[in-house]
Amino acid sequence: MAISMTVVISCEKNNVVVPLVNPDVNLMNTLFISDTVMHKMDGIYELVDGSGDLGTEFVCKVSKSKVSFFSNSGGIYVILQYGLNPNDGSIQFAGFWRYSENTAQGLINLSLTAGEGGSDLLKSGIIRLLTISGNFSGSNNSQQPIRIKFKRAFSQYAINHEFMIFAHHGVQTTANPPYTENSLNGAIHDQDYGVNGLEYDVHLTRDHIPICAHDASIDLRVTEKGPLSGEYIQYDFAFLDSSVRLSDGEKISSVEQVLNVFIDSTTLKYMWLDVKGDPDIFKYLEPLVRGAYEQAAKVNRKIVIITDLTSDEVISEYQSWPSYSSLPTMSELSLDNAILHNCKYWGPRYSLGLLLDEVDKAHSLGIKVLSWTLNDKNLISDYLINGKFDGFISDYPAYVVYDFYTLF
Amino acid sequence: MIMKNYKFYLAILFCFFSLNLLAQKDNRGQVKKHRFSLYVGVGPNYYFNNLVIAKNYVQPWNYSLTARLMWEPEHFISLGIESGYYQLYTVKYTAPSLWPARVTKIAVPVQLVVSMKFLKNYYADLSIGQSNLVDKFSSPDMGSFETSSWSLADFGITLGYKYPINNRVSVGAESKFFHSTKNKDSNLALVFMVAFNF
Repeated sequence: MAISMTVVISCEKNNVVVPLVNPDVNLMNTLFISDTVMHKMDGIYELVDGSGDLGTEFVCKVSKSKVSFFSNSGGIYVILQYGLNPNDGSIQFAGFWRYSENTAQGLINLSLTAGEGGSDLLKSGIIRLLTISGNFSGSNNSQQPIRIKFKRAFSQYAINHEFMIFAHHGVQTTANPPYTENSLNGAIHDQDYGVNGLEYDVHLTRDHIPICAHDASIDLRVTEKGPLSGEYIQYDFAFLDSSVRLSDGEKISSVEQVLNVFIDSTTLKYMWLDVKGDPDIFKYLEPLVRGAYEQAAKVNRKIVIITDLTSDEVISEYQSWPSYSSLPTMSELSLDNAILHNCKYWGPRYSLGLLLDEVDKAHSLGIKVLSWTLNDKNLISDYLINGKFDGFISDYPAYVVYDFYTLF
Repeated sequence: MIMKNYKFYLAILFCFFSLNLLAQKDNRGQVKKHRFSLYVGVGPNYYFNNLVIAKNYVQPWNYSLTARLMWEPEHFISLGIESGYYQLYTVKYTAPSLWPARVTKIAVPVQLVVSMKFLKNYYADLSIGQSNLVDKFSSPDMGSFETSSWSLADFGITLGYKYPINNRVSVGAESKFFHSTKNKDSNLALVFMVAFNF
């Protein structure tokens, strides 16, 4: 009876808390600016005036259509839309700020005037004097001013040593994520949260359609309540498509759908497919992965799709479909296992430690090493400073982004 | 949702056990010959439809079967175990807007019961335990299959009336509220029952 009551009071659904929509009128009637131009904003910024509630130092990263800032305080990040005001030449920004590990969020509006760097950014790409001002809604809904200034560009080391940052089946999926995990919305928007890769999970349906889902079974943790239960592999994809909704109202995503938006709607480079091991999964996954490479080549996108061999059962399936071995794979089991199966990646669990000797050995063999899943801020810093990994999976990529670009 | 309501659940528990403590006064002079009772009942139940998907396809009226073995000493409270077969709801997906399919949701609880008499023939039960949740799915395209899972922290509240026909047999009716935490399913059943003392 005591156990039952403990379970009763401890159950809580992992609810989606969608990002705020900023109705800022300053963005209306602004003109499009290409992300190529905006990428010149990438760098480190510091607070020079106004409230420090959002932090005092920020890493700025530009994604396909947003400008994002990652703070030195509490994993706070700011995601902004932008446009050029044709009347005064200023660049207007509007969006939201939010903590990584709780649901506190608010609206923020910024402006980069022509005289404070906007003109230079658009014309010559010089941003040394760039200063952005605006205000944001604080925790008590009061408007607080903020003024930040470009401090320095990313170091050559950070630019030349690409660090892989994967969103762990989406961002913030341990609690109150902005999107449901393994969803199309996540695939489209995760790059705004600082990652350059997605880690999504793969299961198979009854009619052999690979879908993106972490659990083998339909679970209220990530779906709205409906009458279906049991394993996805018991149902046809079209039936799941019509009869299951994720917790933010989206449909279940097929791997093909996710790969399509990954290529067409993002600038992300890496896709990590965490295969869960349904029978003949590689037979049905291979044409999708090869098709994605072909599609990416047509639009001059350089992508890497890493198929994760997560267990002996998955490896057994992998070995039963030999043609898959020419595609990039990763073993989670051990470095020796990765070497044995000619994997290009090895994915040790973070709790195994820094594994310095093993990582050196992997690098000497041309194998990249990705640690999973790092969520603790201090651990992320420690692994970045003292480790030799090539990338992390994290639910809180804002920590990784800030630390990587400010430490190196 | 459950987290938000846990104080409510704890309050129910507190009140119930407080009343149980008050009920510890024994009935001196009465020595029961039959201290065990088997209750068997059947009746309609109503499912509190909180589905988001296919909500309009839910048939909320179904039936419940219950069986309860109680140890009933001379005190006002008694203890026992309860099981049953609660058909919570049925969903019929219909073409052409939806794929034709039928899902029936069943709960088979296995629970400990604390019961207290509060008037001559009236009693209240609190049952807490686990339930096996069974879904029966059938579709022309995907065939028929069952899935099952355990819900570990379910509970029920029963208000009942029992009329003794003789010293061995009683008949009565119970209003039974059942809540399963795993999928947040609740129903209310009106069970007509027979009790055998032995």
